[in-house]
Amino acid sequence: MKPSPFSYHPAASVDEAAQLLYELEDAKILAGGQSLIPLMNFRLASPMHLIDISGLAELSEIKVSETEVEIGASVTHSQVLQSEQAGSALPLLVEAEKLIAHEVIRNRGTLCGSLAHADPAGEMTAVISVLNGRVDTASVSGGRTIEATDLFEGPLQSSLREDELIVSATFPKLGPRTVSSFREVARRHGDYAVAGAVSVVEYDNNDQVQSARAAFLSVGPVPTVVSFDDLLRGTRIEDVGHSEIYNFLSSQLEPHGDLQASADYRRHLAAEMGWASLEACI
Amino acid sequence: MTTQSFGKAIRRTEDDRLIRGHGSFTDDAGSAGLSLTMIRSPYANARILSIDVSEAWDVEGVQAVLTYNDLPGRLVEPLPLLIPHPSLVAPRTQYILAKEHVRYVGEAVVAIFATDRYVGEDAAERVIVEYEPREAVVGIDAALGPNLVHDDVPGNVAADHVEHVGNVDQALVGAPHVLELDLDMERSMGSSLEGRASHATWDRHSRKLRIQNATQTPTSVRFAVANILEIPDEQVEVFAIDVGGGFGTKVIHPWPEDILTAWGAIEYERPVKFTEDRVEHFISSSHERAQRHQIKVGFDDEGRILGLDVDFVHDNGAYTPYGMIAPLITATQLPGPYKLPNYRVRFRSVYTNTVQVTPYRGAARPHAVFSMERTIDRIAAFLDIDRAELRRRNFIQPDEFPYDLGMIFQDGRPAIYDSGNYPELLEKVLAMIDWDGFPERRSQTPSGRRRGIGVACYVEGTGLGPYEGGHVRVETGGKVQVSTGLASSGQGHHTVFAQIVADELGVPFEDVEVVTGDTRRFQYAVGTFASRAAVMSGNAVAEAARLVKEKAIQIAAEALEANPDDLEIVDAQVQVKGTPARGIPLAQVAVLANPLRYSFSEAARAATQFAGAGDLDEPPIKPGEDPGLEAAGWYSPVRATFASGAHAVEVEVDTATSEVEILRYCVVHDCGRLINPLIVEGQIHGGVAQGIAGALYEKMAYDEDGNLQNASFMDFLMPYCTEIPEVEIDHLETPSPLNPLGIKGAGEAGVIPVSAVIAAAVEDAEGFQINHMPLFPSELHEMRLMNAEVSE
Repeated sequence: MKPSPFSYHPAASVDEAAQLLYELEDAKILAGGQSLIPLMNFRLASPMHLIDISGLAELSEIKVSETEVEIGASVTHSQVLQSEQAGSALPLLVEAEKLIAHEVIRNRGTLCGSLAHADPAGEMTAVISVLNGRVDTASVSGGRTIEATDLFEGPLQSSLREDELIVSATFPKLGPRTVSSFREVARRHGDYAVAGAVSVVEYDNNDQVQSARAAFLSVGPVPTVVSFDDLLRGTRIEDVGHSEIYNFLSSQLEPHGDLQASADYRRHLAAEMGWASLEACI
Repeated sequence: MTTQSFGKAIRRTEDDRLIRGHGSFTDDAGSAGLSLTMIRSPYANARILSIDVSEAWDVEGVQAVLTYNDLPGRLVEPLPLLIPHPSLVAPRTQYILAKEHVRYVGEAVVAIFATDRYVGEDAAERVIVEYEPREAVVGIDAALGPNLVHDDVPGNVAADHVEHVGNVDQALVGAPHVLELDLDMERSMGSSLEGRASHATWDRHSRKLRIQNATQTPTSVRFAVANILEIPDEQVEVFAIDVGGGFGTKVIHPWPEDILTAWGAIEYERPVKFTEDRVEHFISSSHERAQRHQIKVGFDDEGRILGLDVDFVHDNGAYTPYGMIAPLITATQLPGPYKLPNYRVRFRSVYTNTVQVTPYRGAARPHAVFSMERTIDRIAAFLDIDRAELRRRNFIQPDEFPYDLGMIFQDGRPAIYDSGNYPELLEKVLAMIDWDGFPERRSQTPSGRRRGIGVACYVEGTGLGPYEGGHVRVETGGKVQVSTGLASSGQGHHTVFAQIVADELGVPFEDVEVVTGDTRRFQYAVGTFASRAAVMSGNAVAEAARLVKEKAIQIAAEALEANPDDLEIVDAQVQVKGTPARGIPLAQVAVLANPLRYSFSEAARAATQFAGAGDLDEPPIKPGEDPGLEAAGWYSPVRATFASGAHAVEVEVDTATSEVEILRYCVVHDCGRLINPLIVEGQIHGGVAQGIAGALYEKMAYDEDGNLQNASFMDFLMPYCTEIPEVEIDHLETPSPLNPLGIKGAGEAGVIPVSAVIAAAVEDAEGFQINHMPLFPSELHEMRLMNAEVSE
């Protein structure tokens, strides 16, 4: 469990990081290293170069505007969790962060790193998907914006080009009549969820559902977003009830089986989590 | 009076050092030297066609790349079979490096000596091994099928063993009721924090091979290494300073890497270290827990067991270095605290293409208890009798000791329970969990939850022979040095042995310093396993301390011109009983015990030949005496002493997620006299945690090709502290009549009944039978669906 030889390049700026990423053959961006380094220790990944962006001040900011929360690429999970600004602007971020791994991992792991890693079991991939957020990138040919819906292509596969790095992730704030909730089941405290759901429900002036959607983690190759609009618009969640929503979700979700859960159990669990997260939005 | 420390909850003296990072583990040893990297088989069953190592030699920093054909002398032989047995008809052990054939994923094939592990792994990538894979034998069904693990072992049967008492066939025919059960438990493993490790240096000037090894048995590693390398025992020194957990895996020896590091240190005249990484621990150390039991039980209308017939299959993996000890323990410990006038057990131990199976904490007792307790619960359900009451009706009673099971235990001696009080254990644990109040609590279960309760009892043979020893020496500075040959892997030996010696000798606890597991200090020992260290070495150091005390009193009697019978030792002073003014410090007695020609200190002057003491017509050391205030003591029991306990658990199962939550976990434990309740409770906490791991979280997930799919802590779910509930503990102290201190072993107890008691509670909550452990939410969910279909 020792990595292959590699060269380490601490980047002095985003521009330099992008330049190195462009120039060097088989290079990877290192931020918190909480996914990449274990893969390297198992020799499942053997990049020849690591470009470290964790020390870059220009990526270390959490910016909150009227409508959005923007998290820089070197901001750790712990920093998000401890940010009162981010927490009051978008409580869902904090709720999700609490479910991510353990403190020692959160102290190094970065929010943007978990998006670049594109693990469909990652909490942040679900949050950015349900909120229709986006990431901004940099590269020698210039930066671009990638919408969450276009970011994830498969398990551990994002739409980032090889010469491109994420510089920030942006999450829209929720409106005044909008409620969110995250529910998941993990086998052990801090583990990747066996199944989980994050719901966002917007109510109209009569306290009836205007729109509702949920993103599911660990149930497919990418975060799965399900809209409840047809089922719930103009009604109340409690009036539709558990069994209808459970059955709806069971028909929508096609999860895989693995060591911890058969496909059937995972479908069942995802549907239950979907209900539980909706119920918590009542 | 010296303050008595035996029985006190004294904090462990070793913890300050360990918590501050000042431990001395094997991987901490040495810096300049060679690192051993092993290339392991990716196939579970394959012939090796060719190995090309030529490219690996070119990697900078590589000292040597070895295959089986490169091994010299006795290194070409299979590793030793540590415990033979007449029923072990086809024992097989692995080679240091695979010879022509590999039999599990992880078996060592090539050894690389390089400047560090990074270089070793780089070189490993350049070795090309060509295999011819065969059908892998994975799991008990496959073992009983046509494919073979060893071509010369028909039916894959390593051992076939039957024992019986009474006449089971007759008892079953005559029984008013007969039930049959099929039970099975899957594999898990000990997962010590520190993996296997060895660091060997060869001092060519003094011609000593010095080995720091993460082992539970340094003395045996020493003999094994000396034997295989064909050098005198005297040239080999083995010490285990700190060992980060063993749980049974580290009693297995010698590992291929133990021999290769030792051999390499001499061959290359450089220190050689091997530190197992986590993947290697999963695929190339030891596993335990895979047995399938078929049980037939006959009983009367009152639920009294008339006959029990058990036939089980034990999956021993690819090799049997530790013989058939694990299934033998299941066989003899299965009766537990119950009277079984007619009992027959047969087991077959079978080969599979998986990691070898050797005892892991509890050592196949969890399987035994799971079988017996599930059987009792099933009878209770059949007769609609309270489960606790059914246990009461079958218990061996307190006045029936010694109680002879009529079987031969794992030490080759009769299994005779020495003492115990099983009814009281049960009543205590029932009161603790409020068994009778459960129906009321169940009626208040929140919606979305199902509540259940279970109880399980066990008896555990501990303190096995053949022997242990200890040495006690009083230094002239007043410190008392204690050494034992067996090693500590976290049990708290430095604390409890000091407690015992302090009390026996009459010195403050703080003055006693303990060294364990160092063959330079103490050469004869068996090892730390089978809940034996406290019983064996505890009684041995007590004996050594008593001998030192006698000697101190003899010497002091002369100096004080007093009758030895009138002397006592209090607070490290030998004195006339009740008269502290007429005394002499023990340190001074140590000076007098060693007549000197040369003085090196103020204290030593008193012992020199011109100091004026003694009878000039007598030699300074009288015939039959030895210099020095020291003695070795030994303890060798006639047979094992049997500890016991009862666990009760109340659980809630989530109707949506099928997760099992433990609400309360209660333990009543009887290990005889307690040396240190804090340490015993720590042992129980750790044991229960490992039991919960085996019951609800862990299994070795092999695919049909013999690949271990969860060989990391990300996929093998060893629970965190967040998954382990508070464990409530009470004690019963039924002294053992077999040893002077009246103690029984406590190291493994906590783990033993956990699967049984959790299965009972979940069964109670769900209302359908639980016959299989571990129990994961996904499986429980499937079982619910199946049982719902059946009942529809």
